[in-house]
Amino acid sequence: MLLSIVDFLFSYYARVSSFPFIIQICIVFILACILLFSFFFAFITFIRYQYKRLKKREEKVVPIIDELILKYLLEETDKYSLQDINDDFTNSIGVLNDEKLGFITDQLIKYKDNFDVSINDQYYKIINALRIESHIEKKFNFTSNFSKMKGIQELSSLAITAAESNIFPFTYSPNSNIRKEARTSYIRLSKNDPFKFFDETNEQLNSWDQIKLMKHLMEIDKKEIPKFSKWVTYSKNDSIVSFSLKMCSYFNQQEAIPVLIDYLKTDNHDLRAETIKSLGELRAVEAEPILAEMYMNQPDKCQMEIIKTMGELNTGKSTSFLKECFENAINTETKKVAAEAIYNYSEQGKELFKSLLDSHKDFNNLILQHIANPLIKFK
Amino acid sequence: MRKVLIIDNDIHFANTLKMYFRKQEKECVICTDGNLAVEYLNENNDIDVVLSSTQVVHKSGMELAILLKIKLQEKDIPFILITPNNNSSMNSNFSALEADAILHKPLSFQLLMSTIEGIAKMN
Repeated sequence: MLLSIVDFLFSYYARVSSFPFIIQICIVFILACILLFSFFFAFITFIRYQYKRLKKREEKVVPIIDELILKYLLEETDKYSLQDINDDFTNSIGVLNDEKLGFITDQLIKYKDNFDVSINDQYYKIINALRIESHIEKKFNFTSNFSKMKGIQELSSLAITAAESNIFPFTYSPNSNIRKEARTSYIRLSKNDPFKFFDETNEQLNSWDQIKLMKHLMEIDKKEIPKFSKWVTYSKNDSIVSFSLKMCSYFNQQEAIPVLIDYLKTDNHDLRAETIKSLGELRAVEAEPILAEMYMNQPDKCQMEIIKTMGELNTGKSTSFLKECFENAINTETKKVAAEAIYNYSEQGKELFKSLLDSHKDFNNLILQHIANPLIKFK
Repeated sequence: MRKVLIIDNDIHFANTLKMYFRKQEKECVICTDGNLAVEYLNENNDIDVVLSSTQVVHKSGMELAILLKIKLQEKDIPFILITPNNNSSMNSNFSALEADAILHKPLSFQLLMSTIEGIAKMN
């Protein structure tokens, strides 16, 4: 049998070598493609098979894990020892290998996201009993950046404060993704100057980084939220300043208002627009005359933010200012923003809006009608 | 109050609530789809309280809340809304729907139970 295959291959080789050179290249190329395709097909099939088996095991084990976690969360703290909890899990789902500890970690994170588990110590007792922390730490020994990042994310999601020392070495990692992930997690976990990276980082925070930072800030104790105005004043990193401006308004840090008013002098138009927006959200009435005064010398972006802020402050003192903005604006977008601010500007605004609607018959009238149309959601 | 309808597309969250209610000796039905929930309420009269998330498949939380409010007013079933976060502008939108209670994630089991019991007493 083997001999006949070898014979066939030799005769095939002899036949192919008699073909023109270009045909030989084509045959080799086609054979290589077939081999490569077969290899990838086999590889993908194998991965899918492995994944399906993993999912089947997960489906079998996860409901038991959920039941056990819920059981211990609802129990009194001192009723079970760490060993009891470990034994219970082992008896129910078998030996706690890395795969099962991975399932348990995922379920614990889901519990933490969905349910308030901070009311008793049982949640952390489960983590300690199953030695989840050392299971996650194993991921840091891998060379794969993905494993390290996943480990950092898991420690942070479980809010294991003791993990601060494990994450700290990665806050200076040469890999920027790991470094950012570690620094974001450090803010959540550290009790010792968690925001120190805000002072020293030169890296730009992109929108995704800012979302992750925001998520962590929402989860930490309100008392630990710093005064963000200090980074507005002295940070040389524009993305940190932009993020701090947003946080000043989100956490309603009223004491930041004088700093923000001072920061209106910045040369960066984007940051100035962000500052104006924050002042509006902080309801900084004292900034109203300053904003009105600076309006004429501003680029479009800042002018629109000033108009929106005047509308939000809604003091009743800026009707004539808003009217001027609407009538003198040369671009349609600014006109729309001004018309909307007037429309929502208390009773005086409503009256002004009506008079503008009567007095303007041209394109301005169309803009006013557009704003007054309740069926248009995004104006 | 014994039978609770849970509407949420997060099956882990819904299942955990189901396990919790089972421990509290309450029956539970899960709908992971807004349309299915409306269908279920149309066909059955055995639900005592609806526990609905704002994030549901096929209907936005707002749509579902409005639809259920109309349906539930006919049947007079208490309606508890679970929002993913404590965002003030979102809350004011949902408050306008006059849900019997609005709870935020992460959800406290004790608070959930006391809310349901409170609503049961009022009814």
